[in-house]
Amino acid sequence: MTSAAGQIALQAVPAALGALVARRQLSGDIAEGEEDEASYPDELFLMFAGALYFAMNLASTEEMRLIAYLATPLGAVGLLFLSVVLLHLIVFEAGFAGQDEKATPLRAFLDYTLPGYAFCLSASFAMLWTFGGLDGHGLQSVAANVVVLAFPASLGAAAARLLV
Amino acid sequence: MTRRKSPPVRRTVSRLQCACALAGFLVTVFVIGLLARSAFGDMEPPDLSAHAVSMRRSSIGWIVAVKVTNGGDLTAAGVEIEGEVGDERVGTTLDYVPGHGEKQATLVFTAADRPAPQLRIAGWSEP
Repeated sequence: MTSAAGQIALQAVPAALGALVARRQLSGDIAEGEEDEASYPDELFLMFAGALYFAMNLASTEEMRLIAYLATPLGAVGLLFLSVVLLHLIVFEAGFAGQDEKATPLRAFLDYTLPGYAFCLSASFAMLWTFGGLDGHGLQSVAANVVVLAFPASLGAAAARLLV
Repeated sequence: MTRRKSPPVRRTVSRLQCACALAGFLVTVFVIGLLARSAFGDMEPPDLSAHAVSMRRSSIGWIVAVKVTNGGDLTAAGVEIEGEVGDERVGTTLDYVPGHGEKQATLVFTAADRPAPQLRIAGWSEP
């Protein structure tokens, strides 16, 4: 019974985030320009929620751990830079609907991309810890696992920033 | 009726933005530092050892919890652990033991008396 309640509670989190996205995308009564009124903490929170959504769905999979074990430390550093670049490009440079046009690239990188990626790392760490994915791991293995999971999490953060 | 045009909003950088940028930079650099330390050093192969950490009696025999420690930098996959008590030899396999990490396995012995198993790592593979 306790296990069932725990599983339902865990499943409810991505379900709630999915409902949030659906409401934002499918609801017709949201006025144009309303998203421009989101404050800076709100926008960071959205990125964190997006990162959490992707990290939660992938942290329990065996493949993420296998990729982390197979990756060399240099490969993991490369993946980290790729994640940061993609997070920045998708939100600010790729020209998708909803991207912020007010900030200069450097300002956007400092204000959103760097804190956003830190949130991706935090969400990945939290989800791996929740699912026992870091049990018995050394510091370097922890870093590799977190960076590998932060790659899809950064795509989730970028998507949340644009969609929600 | 004329409408007054509102002046352009000048984006100022708040303390919160500076703090978030700094925190994001520090967290990212910390993780890069952790990985870079390993990237530019020699990676030691897996160095595995096993020892019993607890033992209890159950209906199927003696349950022995075995902790496997990896002192190397690289992850070992398919780690085979063998335990021996008298003529009885049992074994189990761990999927992965990460570098500088540890994992726990369980061996079951059917001996009547409390066993003192000889534990050894039979082998492993690369992930």
